[in-house]
Amino acid sequence: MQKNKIEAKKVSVFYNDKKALNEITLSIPEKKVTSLIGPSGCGKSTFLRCINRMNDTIEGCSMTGRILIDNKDINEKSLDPVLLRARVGMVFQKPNPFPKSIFENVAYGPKIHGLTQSSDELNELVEESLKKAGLFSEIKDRIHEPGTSLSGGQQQRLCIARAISISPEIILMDEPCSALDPIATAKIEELIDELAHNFTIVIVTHSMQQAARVSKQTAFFHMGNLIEVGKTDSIFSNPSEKKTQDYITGKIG
Amino acid sequence: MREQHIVTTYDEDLDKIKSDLFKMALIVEKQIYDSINLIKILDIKKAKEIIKSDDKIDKKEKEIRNLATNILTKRQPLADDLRKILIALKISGTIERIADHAANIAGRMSYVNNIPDSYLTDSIFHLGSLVLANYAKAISSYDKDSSKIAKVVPNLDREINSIYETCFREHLHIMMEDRETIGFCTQMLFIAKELERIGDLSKVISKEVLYNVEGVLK
Ligand SMILES: Nc1ncnc2c1ncn2[C@@H]1O[C@H](COP(=O)(O)OP(=O)(O)O)[C@@H](O)[C@H]1O
Ligand SMILES: [Mg+2]
Repeated sequence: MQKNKIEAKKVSVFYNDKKALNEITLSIPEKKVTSLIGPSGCGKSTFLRCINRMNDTIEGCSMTGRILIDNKDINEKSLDPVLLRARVGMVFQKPNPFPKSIFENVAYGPKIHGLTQSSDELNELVEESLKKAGLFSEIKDRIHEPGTSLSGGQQQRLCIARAISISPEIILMDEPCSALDPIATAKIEELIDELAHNFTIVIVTHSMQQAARVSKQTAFFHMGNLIEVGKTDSIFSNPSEKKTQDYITGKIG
Repeated sequence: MREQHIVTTYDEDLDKIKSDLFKMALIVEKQIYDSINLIKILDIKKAKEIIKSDDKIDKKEKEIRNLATNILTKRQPLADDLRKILIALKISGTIERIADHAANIAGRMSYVNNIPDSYLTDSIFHLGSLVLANYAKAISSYDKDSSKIAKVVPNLDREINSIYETCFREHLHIMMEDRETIGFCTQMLFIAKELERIGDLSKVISKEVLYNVEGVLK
């Protein structure tokens, strides 16, 4: 049986009194890739931010409904959002390395979460994370150079290394390739395939082809509503909702 | 009501592949018609014409492939758009093979100098008429995106198959009764086989139309 890692139950989100998400109920399977697609402003990023409670930090933003991770409500008072964010890593559209060395970028998370006992252990963890992100062999001789000296695609993989260094269970990616060229994009996609063996991944993308390539499940959002969710193959070959069909084929709805 | 793409040249591309394919289909319909008529009216000149025009069909198929490749590259179509391209490729290939069979019939008929006096049946011509009608149904289901018409084609094809079997037995009889007809009847049986193949391939076309309209491969 497929285990669901994340379950959204009737999740609505408001920015002040403007409703951005309308009763979203969506299950996200463990160690699989789920794509969120839909026109700009439909609420994809807002939904993603519900999963790591990043919306908490936005002034005027409130949520109703429940988000469960491993069947536990993440909005329980007793739950520390900092610990939650250690379990849920995030990668953004624009690569955003800290203005520090490549090494420090990756070492930062494990340090603040106290994941390693010695500097040897830390070195090892950093190296391992960079390897998992498919970056190590390219940069091993300049690990102490600034992260910002890398190419765009390398910076994005550095951000992925940073996200996985603290061994999260879930990785959220908000249009991670939209600033990258096709080759850098292909490398990230290959990496996503690899990471899906160990992590539950939720990715927002504007490229239908990318969603088709990387994900098992696809959810289509439209104006704050979840219109359709299903196996990626069937969503792109034979969607059941007309709105989905119009969107993915570029028709005037 | 027809949905339109935001990019209008995309609609034009899809329209063009469909109208090109339908035109190709109509040329082949005429070729089947002409080749069947040779069974009734021997005409070596006409037979050679049909054989020659087969090249034109090969060329049309290549054009459709190029157009399809071009659309796939430019638009990366999905869902119903993708199905339109996929079926256009498959149907154009199928029609190209149907045209080969029509040319084969013409080829056989170009070797026939005269029809034996004792050969009185017109069952193969009848078989041909049914095959032609069913082919016409198949391509009209494509033209109209009609699953209703497409669903008729396999039924008629079953009838065609049973008539083909009857023709076969009937011709064995004719050959046994009059050995002089053996050469001619053999040609006719080969022609019946070509017709039966056209019937099968018409069914392939109707299946593609159903896939396009209903979205699932049966
Ligand atoms: N910080 C914010 N303050 C107010 N409104 C916001 C904020 N972020 C997003 N919104 C609104 O919420 C809706 C959904 O936005 P968003 O989740 O960013 O969509 P998407 O990621 O699908 O483009 C939009 O109408 C947007 O204007
Ligand atoms: Mg967004």
